[in-house]
Amino acid sequence: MKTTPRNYAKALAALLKTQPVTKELVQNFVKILRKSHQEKMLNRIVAIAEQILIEENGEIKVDVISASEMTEKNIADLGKMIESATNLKPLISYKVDKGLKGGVKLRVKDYMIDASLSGKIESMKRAFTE
Amino acid sequence: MELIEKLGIDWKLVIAQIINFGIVLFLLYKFAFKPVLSALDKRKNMIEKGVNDAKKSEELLAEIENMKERALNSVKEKTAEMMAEAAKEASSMKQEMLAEAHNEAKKAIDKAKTEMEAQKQSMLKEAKSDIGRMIVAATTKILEREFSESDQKRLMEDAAKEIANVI
Repeated sequence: MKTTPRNYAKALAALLKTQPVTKELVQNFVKILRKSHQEKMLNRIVAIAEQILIEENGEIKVDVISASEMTEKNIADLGKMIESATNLKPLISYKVDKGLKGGVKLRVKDYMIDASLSGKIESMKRAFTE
Repeated sequence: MELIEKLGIDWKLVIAQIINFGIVLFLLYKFAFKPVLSALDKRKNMIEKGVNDAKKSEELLAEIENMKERALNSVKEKTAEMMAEAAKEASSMKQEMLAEAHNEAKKAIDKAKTEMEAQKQSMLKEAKSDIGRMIVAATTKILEREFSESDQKRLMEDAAKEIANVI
């Protein structure tokens, strides 16, 4: 049976908990992936492993795209909201996209949550034209 | 003989006249009476033949008349049959043509209805799309103008709640 990227990620996360990241460790891991022809999945496996480690620490990684610059207070408020909804401490990184016109987009794991004004307008356009 | 002589009859002359008469009779018979009789016979035969022929002709004529009558009757019957057949066929063709015309008309009406419906739907869709675009454009302007801090906060809250659903 073929090992899934999530299983590789779990194994990598378990390994990283017991020992620091070394060149040798990375090389061995890539060798294993190459043997099973899954070296192209390396980035995804590392991202999942990172997510697993973060979740095990009671944290969650959240990428925020905002229509305007966010103040420290805005970020703190959003963090509180997420923590309240998920019971996990969010690790927020954000960038600005004025095209959103208002609101935010959140990327969590493989999900994109669109709570932007442009997204709402697009939904409205689709509803009228379909 | 004496009596004959007393009567002044010359028996020689009588004999001679008898012979002459016989000769004349013979000649007459031979050259006049016989041909006349023959001619009369011929004539008689001809007349009889003519009568027979006339009878035959009459019979033939009657037969021909009969045949003509029969032929005419047959033709009349055939014509009547053909007319009846033609009328029947014409009626059948008329029915077929009527049915076909009816079908064609129905198809044309259905097609026209379908086209009209499609056109109506297309127009409605276009109108809906135009109205939708106008509403979206107007709403977009209003939203952009009226978008406030509280709206931003509400959207962030919505997004935060949504995270709980996806993880």
